[in-house]
Amino acid sequence: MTPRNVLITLLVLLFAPLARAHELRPAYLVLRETTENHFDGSWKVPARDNRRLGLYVRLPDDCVVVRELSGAFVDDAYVERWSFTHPAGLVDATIRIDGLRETLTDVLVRIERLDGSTQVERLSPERPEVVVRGALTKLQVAGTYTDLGVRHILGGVDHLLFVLGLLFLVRGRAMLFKTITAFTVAHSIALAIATFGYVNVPPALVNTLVALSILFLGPELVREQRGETSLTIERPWLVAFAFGLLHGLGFASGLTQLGLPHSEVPLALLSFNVGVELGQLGFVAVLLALGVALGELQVRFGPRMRRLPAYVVGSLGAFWLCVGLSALI
Amino acid sequence: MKHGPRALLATAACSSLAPTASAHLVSTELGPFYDGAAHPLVTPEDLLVILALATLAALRGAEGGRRALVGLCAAWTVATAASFAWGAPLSAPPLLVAGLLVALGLACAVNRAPSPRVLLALGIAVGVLHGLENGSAARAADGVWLSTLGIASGVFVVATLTTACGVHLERRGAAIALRVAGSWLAAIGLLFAGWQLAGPAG
Repeated sequence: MTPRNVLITLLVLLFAPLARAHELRPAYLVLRETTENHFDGSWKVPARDNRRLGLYVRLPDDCVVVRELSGAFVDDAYVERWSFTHPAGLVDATIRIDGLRETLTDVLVRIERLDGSTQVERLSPERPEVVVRGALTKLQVAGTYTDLGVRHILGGVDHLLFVLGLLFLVRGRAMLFKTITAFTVAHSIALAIATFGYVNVPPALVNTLVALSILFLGPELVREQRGETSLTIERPWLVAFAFGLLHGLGFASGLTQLGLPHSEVPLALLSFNVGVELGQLGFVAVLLALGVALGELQVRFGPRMRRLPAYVVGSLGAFWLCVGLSALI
Repeated sequence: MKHGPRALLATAACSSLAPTASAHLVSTELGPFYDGAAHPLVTPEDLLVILALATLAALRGAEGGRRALVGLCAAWTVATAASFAWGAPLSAPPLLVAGLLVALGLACAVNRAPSPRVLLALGIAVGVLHGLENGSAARAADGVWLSTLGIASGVFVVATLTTACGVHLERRGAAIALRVAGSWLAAIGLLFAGWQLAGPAG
């Protein structure tokens, strides 16, 4: 490793904390109508080491709490439960999440009515409140989870970096199609299996293994540029499939932590997966278009510049692996 | 004061037209990086000047396109970072921005593309002018460094794709399409200038 490469690696590691490895841990609010105008509420906030995020539900002023709050730390979350009544059954009422503007977290709000209809909304720091409406169609619910899937992949620097590494590793359109398809199929299978509860891997372990998959690509990219060969270089689709299973578990940990009821899991799963695919395809399309454009402009990169992606991928993978291992220990 | 009447007039015009910087990044709800990346796409002044420079540079083939691209992206990134690090709101007079758009569009329409060296200088000038303003916008956002990185990435992607499209057309003998595009951009620049001179309605 030359001094220049050491310098590149150190620079990447210096700026690595800016690129936060992704962990989708939204808060989750469920309001279930048990009798007419009477609701049971459940509020699940991400927590770590018995410290919870400072997010608080503000119900409409005309709500009457009939049972006091009860809260407890459960795994990596703080869960509160309470009951209340509202004269209009919450229709047209505004529910606000105090403290959301000061975080980077999302909040999923789910309102279940007596007639079986549901309203699912995703709140964000930019939109910390929701107005309760009448019944929502399945299409609207699907839209919410598709949106969540797109946001999950676009906000997941670790997943995107793995895809980026694969793009640099693959030669030829046919192999690229095969590799991206293998990755997609694998993470879809893992997402489905984990969401239906057949496999349960702790999110911290999944994040660490995802980091390991990124670190794995770094040396392979260097090997490919040196003209050497390996199983990964000859059959990148195989590696994409194997590690795609891990990335799928990562997507699933986000979805399962929402605590969705079983009746809506298939629709949520499908929509979320569609969203992930759309986001991933958009990212790949932009990168491929850039590659073609740079070719059209006859841009030639020197050997050092060609090595840069390998060191960026490898260094960030190593950094996230260390972070993941420290979290596990 | 020994300056001539023209210099006094120009100073007075620039002073009266310099606005207070009130730009801010659009919210994509995807975080500061994507807010920054979307900024050049949803800000007409930024998008149009990138298109105008890319179209003009494409008339000089791949070399012209490369030079303009390097100057534009490097200067835009440095100016954005410098602007928010500077701390004071910086903003280019809107009439200057519109004038630059008209000049680039007209040069393209009459097929008078400058040499690759001049295109590099033009890229730097455009990058500095718009980057300084973008820095003020980034300062108003959460995560300024990620916003700056996002703005730089957005400018790079838009400029690279449009320049490459232009070079592709020029190579296929369809330079007339670039000249038509230049005339439209000049016309839009004239509209901008007209709005600035007319002032707010009512």
